[in-house]
Amino acid sequence: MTPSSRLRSTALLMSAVFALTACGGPTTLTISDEWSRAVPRVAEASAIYFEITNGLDSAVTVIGGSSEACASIELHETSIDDNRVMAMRPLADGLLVGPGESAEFEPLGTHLMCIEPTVFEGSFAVTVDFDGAADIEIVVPIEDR
Amino acid sequence: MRRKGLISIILGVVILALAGWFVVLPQLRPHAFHGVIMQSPTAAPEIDLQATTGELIGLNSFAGKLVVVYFGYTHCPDVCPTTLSTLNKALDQMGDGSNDVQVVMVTVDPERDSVELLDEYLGFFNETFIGLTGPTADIRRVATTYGIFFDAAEGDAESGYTVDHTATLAVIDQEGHLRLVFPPELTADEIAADLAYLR
Repeated sequence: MTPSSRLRSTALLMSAVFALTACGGPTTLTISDEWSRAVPRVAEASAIYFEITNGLDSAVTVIGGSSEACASIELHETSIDDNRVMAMRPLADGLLVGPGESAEFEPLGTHLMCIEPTVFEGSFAVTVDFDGAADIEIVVPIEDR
Repeated sequence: MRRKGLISIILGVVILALAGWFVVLPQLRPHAFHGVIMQSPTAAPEIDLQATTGELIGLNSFAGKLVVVYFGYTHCPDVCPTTLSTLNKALDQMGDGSNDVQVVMVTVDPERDSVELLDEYLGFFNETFIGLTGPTADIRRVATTYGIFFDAAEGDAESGYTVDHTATLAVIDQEGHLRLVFPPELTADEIAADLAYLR
């Protein structure tokens, strides 16, 4: 093996190791188990639920979303106090999901609120907006869970 | 021969013991309620409000039925549709037994929830659900007697206001006594089990 071919081999090996390291590392932010509760056509609002898994090595913040099937989308949190009083408030600062952490958007908890929904069966596309990562588009089935 | 007989007797005893443990014993045990049971049931406070069926109704309209009373509103995107959907599933599980149950939702947002809107909204979840409305003062009076708090919270231009409200459900028995309170987290299975026991 000539010195130049040895150099080429070393470079190739190093590229392969680098590529493998990059592939195996924490590089994904995913949304799974997305769904929206079926509501009547007269409903002024509906809720969108899913799970976010942050496989990145840095925190991300969910700041809201958008969809052609909603006049607007807001990030909300439902809380129930010790007296069983339910309150729903916008999360003005977004929802932080740390590296390696997951966040559940679920009934009686955090959710995206679809204001003035226009789609009531089948599914609709939603873009979930993040700070610290690229926005993610999901297709949300309308279900009666 | 004698050994065979002994084995048969032992097997018989084991089968009887298992049947007793798994079949008879559960039926003898008192029902473990998932909701909060009222130890000394008192007469349920009157609910005299305008119904989506087009009449002014009182509790006597539902005499002989279990009445599940919920306070909610139609602009609510999360808790109210979740609760109504859960109630529908519970009734579905009860089969014909659900004919002995009447679900009513008293709106805590009478300004936006017209009789027509309530009727269409509730009918989506279950055609038998009845909505009740009236002047805010009347609704507040009824809600207070059921230990229900509600108050409008400021929203924004897009979503409008939301209404904070107690999310429990009251169950009134066939004799008009307040018997049970369901917390909002109960599942359809748990609600169906309690209602089936009370009917």
